[in-house]
Amino acid sequence: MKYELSKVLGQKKLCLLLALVVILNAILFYGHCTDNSKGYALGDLREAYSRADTLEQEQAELEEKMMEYLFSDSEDHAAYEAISDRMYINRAALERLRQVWGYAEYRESLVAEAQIKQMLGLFQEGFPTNSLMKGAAVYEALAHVQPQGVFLGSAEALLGWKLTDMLMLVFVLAAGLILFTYEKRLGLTRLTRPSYHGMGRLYLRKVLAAITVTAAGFVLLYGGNLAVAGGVLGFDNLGVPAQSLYGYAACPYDISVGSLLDQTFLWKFAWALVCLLVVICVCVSTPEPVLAGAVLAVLGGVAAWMNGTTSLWLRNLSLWHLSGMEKLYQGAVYLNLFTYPLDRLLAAGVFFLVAGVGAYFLGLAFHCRLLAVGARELRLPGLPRLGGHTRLFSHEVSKALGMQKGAWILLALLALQLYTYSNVSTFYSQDEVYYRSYSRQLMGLPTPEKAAFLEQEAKRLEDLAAQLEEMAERFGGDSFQFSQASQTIRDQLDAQLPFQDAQDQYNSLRPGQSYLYQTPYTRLYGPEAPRENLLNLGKLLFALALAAAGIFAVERETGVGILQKTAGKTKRIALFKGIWLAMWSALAVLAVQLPRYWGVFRAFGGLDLSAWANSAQWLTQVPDGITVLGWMLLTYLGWTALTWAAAALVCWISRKSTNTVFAVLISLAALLLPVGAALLLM
Amino acid sequence: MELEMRNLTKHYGKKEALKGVSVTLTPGIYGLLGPNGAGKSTWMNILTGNLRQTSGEIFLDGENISHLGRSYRRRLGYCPQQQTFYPSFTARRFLYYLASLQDMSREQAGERIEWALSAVALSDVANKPIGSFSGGMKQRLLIAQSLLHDPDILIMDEPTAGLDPRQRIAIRNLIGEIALHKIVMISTHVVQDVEYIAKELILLSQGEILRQATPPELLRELEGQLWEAVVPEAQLNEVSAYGTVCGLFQKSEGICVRLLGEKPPIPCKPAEPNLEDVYLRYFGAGEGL
Repeated sequence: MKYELSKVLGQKKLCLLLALVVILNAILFYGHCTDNSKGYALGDLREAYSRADTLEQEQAELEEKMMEYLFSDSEDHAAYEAISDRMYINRAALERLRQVWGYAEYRESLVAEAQIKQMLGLFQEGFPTNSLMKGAAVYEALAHVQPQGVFLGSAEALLGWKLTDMLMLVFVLAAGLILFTYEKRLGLTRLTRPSYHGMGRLYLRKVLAAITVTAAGFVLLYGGNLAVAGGVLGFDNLGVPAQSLYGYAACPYDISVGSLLDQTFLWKFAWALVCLLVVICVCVSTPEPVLAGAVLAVLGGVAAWMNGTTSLWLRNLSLWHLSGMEKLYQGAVYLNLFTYPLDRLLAAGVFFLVAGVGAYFLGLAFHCRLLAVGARELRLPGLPRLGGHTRLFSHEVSKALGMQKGAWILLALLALQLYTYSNVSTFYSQDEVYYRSYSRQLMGLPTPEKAAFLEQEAKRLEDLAAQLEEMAERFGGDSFQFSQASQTIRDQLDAQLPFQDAQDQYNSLRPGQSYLYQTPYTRLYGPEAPRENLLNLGKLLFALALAAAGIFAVERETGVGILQKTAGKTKRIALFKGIWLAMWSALAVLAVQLPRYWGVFRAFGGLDLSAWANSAQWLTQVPDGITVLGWMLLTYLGWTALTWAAAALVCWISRKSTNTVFAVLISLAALLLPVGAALLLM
Repeated sequence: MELEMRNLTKHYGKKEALKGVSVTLTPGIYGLLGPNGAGKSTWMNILTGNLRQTSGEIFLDGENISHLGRSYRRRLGYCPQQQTFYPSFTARRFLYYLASLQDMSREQAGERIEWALSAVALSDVANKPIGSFSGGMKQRLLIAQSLLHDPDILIMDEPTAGLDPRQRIAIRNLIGEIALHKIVMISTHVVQDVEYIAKELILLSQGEILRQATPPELLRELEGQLWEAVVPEAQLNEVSAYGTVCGLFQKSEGICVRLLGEKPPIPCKPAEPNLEDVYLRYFGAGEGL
């Protein structure tokens, strides 16, 4: 096994990458432990806990002081901030303490609620009743548990941090690609196949080596978190019941906070091992790292989809969901196993075992069956043979699109985006329905007709309001008769607020601006946009890494670079590859952005390309004269420039790599880690 | 046409791979012989521009090749030692790609590709992926690509590696046919590859040229130094002390030993020298593998 390990640990660049990942994790986790974006850092709560007995009184006094400050004309901002900071800290500490103080009543209420529901026969026989009874029994058995109001900052920080799970996958991916895909690509599997050790034993050795790498990564990453948490927040009070921990009042297990942490980390390790075996299964089935990456991306997408479904079973069989096993300790929720309420932890354990063993043996089956290249001519009937020309640029493009799957990746990206945006959620509240209707009337540049419409509609609504007032006086505002008689008028007056919004929007237009139906623009550029842009950027960069990482590495890997150099064409080929990659990147940005625009405007309508972009609420900073189309083009150019910069980085990595597997791995890490970190920190 | 190398030197750190190699090549086939690590591949990589020499110059027809640039490379064909392919490419597509590297026109490339495939007997599998080829087929394809643009200078590093005897003879004959007005340099361990076709042999050891001469000249140097004796098996160790053992083969009366050196003090007769004996004379038989 040590020879297998040396294949991973002997790669200096890879070890450097993994070391950087560990350091990055530690730095970001430190940031998490000391983050005070909510008005307080976890460490600030320690001191508040020491004053637990007088905290409520202190908070009431601070609220009085704040009221006095707000009603006075004082400009002492320092005093305001001091009070405000103190209040944030106390509020956070009190939230936690109140959970502990109220635990007994809370637990009893859970039991009582279950018993009442059972008595009233609100649920059918079968799983709902069984689940209710089991939950009640579980909480009854916790009657002796007495949570403590003590500082548990480190446990809170460790359990609330998700980025390390994502970084763990870098180790998993590295082990799988190096030990399986890389060797298969070099053709070394044929060399080891007839060896004395046998195919099965060799596979086992490789898997054990991969597990060792994963375990080392686990220790470094999560161990780093423990070291930082211990250093910044300390590990006091880990012996108190888990129900003392904020968010875990409904924990159905009689365990301490320390045990909760131990079990969570064990579960995370089991999760990492299952992910590793799945990755190995994919990597061993193909010598193409691009294909392996694409299949893993699809599996990741399926896991994410399962995590987002309403089906509890599907969620609990999703590796995405199970990366956060600590959530399963937050309440007594059961899975329906033929009316039997199955504990989710047990279900997860069984799933890990079955999935892990299944992935191992499936990978073994792939490993033992070598995939020989067929000797058949590679051509679809009726299509001309590829490559029967001497245009070097065309050869380089067809190499990139075909041999390195650039075309497939681009199509897959487009298909993914079309699927993502084919069903944009269009929940319309009643206000939205009215607003949309008014917007249809007012869309475009202001005109006298639109102004007349607004005046007319305002008059109509005023008249209706007056009628309603008159009815209220006649019948009495609260009487049943009034309610009956005024129903139609009141229904019509529901349009008042949305009309006011539309009218205010119209009246605030400056010369040159157009009235725009704001909802699609809010969807594209509003508060949710940064997160969505990051997600789309992640997809784009993932595709770029797969399509481009091998662009130069393949020449060194196959040795054809020697022939290119002999012919004196190295620089020209590099130029052609750069041109192709720039073209591909520009197309990829279109593939990412156009479906989004299409999906949103298909769902909401209201696209006016010629309107000034600053007519949209979220684009007021755009200078006058730049139209919506112009803004979209500028956005496109910005994204393309960013993608070109990323492509340049990938090219540099590819030129420094001796093979495609390493180039793909390092490119994925270099491009996706910052995006992933940004998403998780958002 | 004349390819002149003056004082070519190449250092890898403290190791000197080539030590002031000077030689002038004119049209004809030159066999480059030497043990592993002699500097053969280094020399070939310098000639093909894949390595830059530490010092020294190379002139083609009196002009420094670093000034000639592209016009030198256009006249150069290279068959490398390692197999260099895109496995998913068909043989024909790969040759078209290499033709594009040489700025050949489509028509020109079409003709030359068909000729090259036919010359190396790969026409039947031209549309199959290279990844499905045997080692010998891949080697023949490598040779084909080096001949594609009809180069004036052909550098071939172990061109017959992996070929069976029939194929080796065919390749040898092909090179002999096309080398009429070309400078061909063949690096090989298989002495028979160059024995019949080489104009001159260059013997290289530890970065230095030990000897450059025609095969007949080299063979004449061994006249009177090669002996054959038949001895019982038990005396083999004793016999090896009398000279360099160039060959051993079983006979009914005992083991027939070819010895290189002074006449041994045992019953023996003079033997006809061959180039393997020359190789052993210069590079020794006692250094193991």
